[in-house]
Amino acid sequence: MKKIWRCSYMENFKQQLDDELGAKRFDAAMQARVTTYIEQAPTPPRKDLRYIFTMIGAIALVALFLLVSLNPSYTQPQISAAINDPIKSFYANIAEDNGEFKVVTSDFDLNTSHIRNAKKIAELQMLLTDVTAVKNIPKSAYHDVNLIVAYDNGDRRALQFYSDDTMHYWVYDIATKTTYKGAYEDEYKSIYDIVTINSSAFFIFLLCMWAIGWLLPHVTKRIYKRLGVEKRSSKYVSERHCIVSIGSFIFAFIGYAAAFFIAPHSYLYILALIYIPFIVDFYYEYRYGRAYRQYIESAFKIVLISVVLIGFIYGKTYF
Amino acid sequence: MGVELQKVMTDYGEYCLRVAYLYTQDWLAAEEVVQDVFLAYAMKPDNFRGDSALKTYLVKITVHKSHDYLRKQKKWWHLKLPMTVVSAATTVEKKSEQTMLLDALNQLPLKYREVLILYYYEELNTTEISEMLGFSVNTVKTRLNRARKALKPLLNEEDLEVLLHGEF
Repeated sequence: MKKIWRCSYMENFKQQLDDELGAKRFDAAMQARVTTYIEQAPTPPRKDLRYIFTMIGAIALVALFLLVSLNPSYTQPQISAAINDPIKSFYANIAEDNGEFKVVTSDFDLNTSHIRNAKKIAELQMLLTDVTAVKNIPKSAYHDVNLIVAYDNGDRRALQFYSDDTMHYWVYDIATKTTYKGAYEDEYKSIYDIVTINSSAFFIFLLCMWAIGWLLPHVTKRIYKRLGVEKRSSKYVSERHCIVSIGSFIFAFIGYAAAFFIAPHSYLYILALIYIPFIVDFYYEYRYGRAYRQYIESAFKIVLISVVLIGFIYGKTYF
Repeated sequence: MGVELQKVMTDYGEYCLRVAYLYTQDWLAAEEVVQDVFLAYAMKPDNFRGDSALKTYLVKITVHKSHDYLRKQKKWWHLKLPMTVVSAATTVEKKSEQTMLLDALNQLPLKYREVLILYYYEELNTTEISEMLGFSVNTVKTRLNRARKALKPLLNEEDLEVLLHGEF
């Protein structure tokens, strides 16, 4: 049953309010003023191009970032450094079954780790020092790791590491086409352990990811509370927002899967597809639902993805 | 200018003006809002798909335009001059009228005032209000409850009594 307020001198709220608002004000003169206002109003452009250009700019920026940092192949230059010269840092990835050399010298390739960890550099230095030249690699050896070693003198050398079950390893120098053989001593770490991220560091990274995922709703809730923003009943601004958001997620997912097969060494560029649904969401929230300020959450997510990606790259380099 | 638009203005102009006034508490501002309402309607008449009554559609635009107006006022408040001069006509008009409920309503914060306006004046139900304002139905109900509690001390016992109790 409805709860109704009654005023003593009026039958209901509406009636009393109408009476208190007084006589009719929207007269012919006001109607004429409104008509003049409408007639003199400039015709707006068919579409608000500001937002479209902003979005095109954002996408172009991401594309430019990808192009600038794209470095899919490596050509071995002439070098003067010996294989066991002091190492400054090295780029590494786990070899694939097809034996292709897919290490790149970009810090922005998730499949290639640019390792600057002093302990790991010392361990690799030991492996490269205790080697002797041999004729060839036995067929029983399996391709372990690909490396580009950056020496202190500025030279870079592309190497392929092979191992077998007898605790021996072989290093193939792509520049000189020379093969070296070494044996893992007790204190040596295998090349695989050297190039992969420290397990405890990876655990901490995952923990941070989980914490971010857990904290995100709480932080946004706090922000909205402080800003005095009420949560919207619907998740999307409009039906079109819903369709486009879901479509962009599907596009990103299919694009991710397709790109994984086409260019599996370029994880970072593929992961950049993650941005698309969030940029789309931000666009709709900012363009059509700005009053609800949900775009803050979208922007927050974009920033968090960037932080996670940068954190991952940083973790691979130093841990 | 279409004849249809003139008819719409004649039919609903006064109503929209009153709604805008209840939001802005200023007749000049209300007229400004109503101008924008009919401009929006005139520019994109196809946006009205006939899912609801035209009156409800126009009220929805009025609510949004009033919000826009109040937001602008809030943004540029520092540029406004204090209102020191009140016209004699306004004073006389105010004194001559019994505006108990209106004065009480105007003392409420906008978030409470608007749910009262939409629920009691526009006679929309809580679901329609929630769709119009973009809040959940529960939020609307909570605000209605709080608005009525806030309104109660502002009105005399003689002027106001709750008739019936129940759900919205």
